[in-house]
Parts: sequence; structure tokens; C-alpha cells
Amino acid sequence: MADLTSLMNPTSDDEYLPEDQKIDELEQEIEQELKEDTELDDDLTKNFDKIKTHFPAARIKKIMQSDEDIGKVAQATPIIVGRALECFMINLLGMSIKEAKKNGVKRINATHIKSAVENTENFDFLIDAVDKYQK
Amino acid sequence: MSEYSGGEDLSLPKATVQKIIGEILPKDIAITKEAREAITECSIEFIMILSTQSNDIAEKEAKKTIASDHVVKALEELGFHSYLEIINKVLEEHKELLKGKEKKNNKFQNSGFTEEELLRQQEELFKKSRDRLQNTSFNANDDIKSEVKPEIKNEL
Repeated sequence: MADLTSLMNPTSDDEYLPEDQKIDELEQEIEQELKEDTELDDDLTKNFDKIKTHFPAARIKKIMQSDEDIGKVAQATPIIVGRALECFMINLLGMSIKEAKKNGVKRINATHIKSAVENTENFDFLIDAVDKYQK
Repeated sequence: MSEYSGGEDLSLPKATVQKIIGEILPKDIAITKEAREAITECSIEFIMILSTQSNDIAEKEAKKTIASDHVVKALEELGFHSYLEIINKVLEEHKELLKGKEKKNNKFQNSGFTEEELLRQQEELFKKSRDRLQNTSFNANDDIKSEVKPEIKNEL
């Protein structure tokens, strides 16, 4: 907090040095995050190419339209949703593997998936679905 | 899940889910049956949230049909940016595939002529064929006459 106030109200030249260092650190952090992001992307593309099995578009369409609010969908839509689902599965399984490794095991169980959901911001919509799995 | 399925048991095919999970997981990582079921449930939730978001975007654009572009936008809005590169690539491949099929199926577009030009060509072909028919019948008559006449002359 003290650093933040001095950052906004610089009172003397002496204080510039630690601030600069702080900015450097922040930049490094951002760089690190960006790097992690691209690593995840690489992983996604690599894993996506491994998938040779695809979901039947007709079934995806049926599931989509099981919500009565969903009306007509274009021919390509269920195909794209199916492929996005494959990305999602890679994503969720990747996070779950991390959770399993944290526990020092090589077999993913439901609680690892629950932890993966809880620790990933994009997966907030799944909280209710995995609630029943006890840790 | 029951709130979406409306009584029917509408889930993803178990064998397909299992196969895809097997293709994704590294060889040294296993998964329990319960975890596989959890993945299936999460997958259905994912389809539902993606559909709802895509539908909202389509409605905002006053469109009655959810197009693939709406799905792409929905993925973006839901924070799945990292999927976009792959999805856009799949979309392009799909469009190319459709184009290829159209070309194969559609001689009309393949010909490079407009509809009017093609109609005129057809008309010309009809005319030629009619002329040929009339000419041959005339000639045939001529032939008969010329063949018959000498015979008659000979007899006379």
C-alpha cells in the first residue's frame, strides 16, 4: 500500500528507484503470464490435432435445442459447437491433470475436476454441476 | 441437467466421450469412471451456456438463426479466447469444403456464364436442332422424289 501511495505522489527523487524496480517486476510478471498463455495455446492446438473422434452434429444440435429458447441453428453451428466442446474438454482435462499432480497421483478423479472448476475463472458456470462431488 | 432435458435423457454418447478423453489424456494419466461422468456433465453445461450466449447475440442482431459467427462471438464473451484460433481455422476449412462441394454439384455456376447467356445458348441449340430436323425431312422428300422419278421414267 505504501508503495502505491508513493507511486501516485512522488515526493522526492530517492523514491523513483524502488518504483522503477517495481515496474520492472510487474513487467516481468506480465511477460511470464503472457508466456504461460501461449504455452497453453500451443498445448491446445497440439492436443486438438490429437483428437480424431468427433461428436455427431445431430446430437449436439438436439442438446442445444433441448433449451426451448434456442430456435433455428445454421448447418455449421453444431459442428462449430462440437469443436469448441473438444477445446473445452482439453482445457478442463488439462486443469484436472494439474490438480491430480498437486495431489501426487496420476489418476484423475471427480474431486480433481471440482478443484479445476473452482480454480479456473472461465469455469464458474460449472460450480453447481460439480457441487455434488465430495472432497 | 433435468431442467434442460425436458424429461428425455439427452446426453452425449458415452463411447464418444470416452474415446475423446482417451485421445486427449497423456498415456501415463488415467481417469475414474466418476470423473468421466463429471466431464460429460460439464460438457453438456458447456453446450448449454454456449448456446444461450450465441442465441442472445443472434437476437441482438435480430437474426432468427444462430450462425457460426454468433458462436465465435459467444466464445469470446465467455472468456474462451484461447479456443478462437482453432475454431476460426475449423470454420475456414468448413467453408472451403462447402465451396468445393458446390463447385462439384453446380455445373451452372461452374460454366462461367450468366443465366441469361445460358438460356440464349439453350435457345440456339433448340433452333439448330429444329432446323436440322426440318432440313433432313426436306432432303428426305427430295431424295424420295429423285429416286422415284427415274424409276417411273424407266418404266415408261
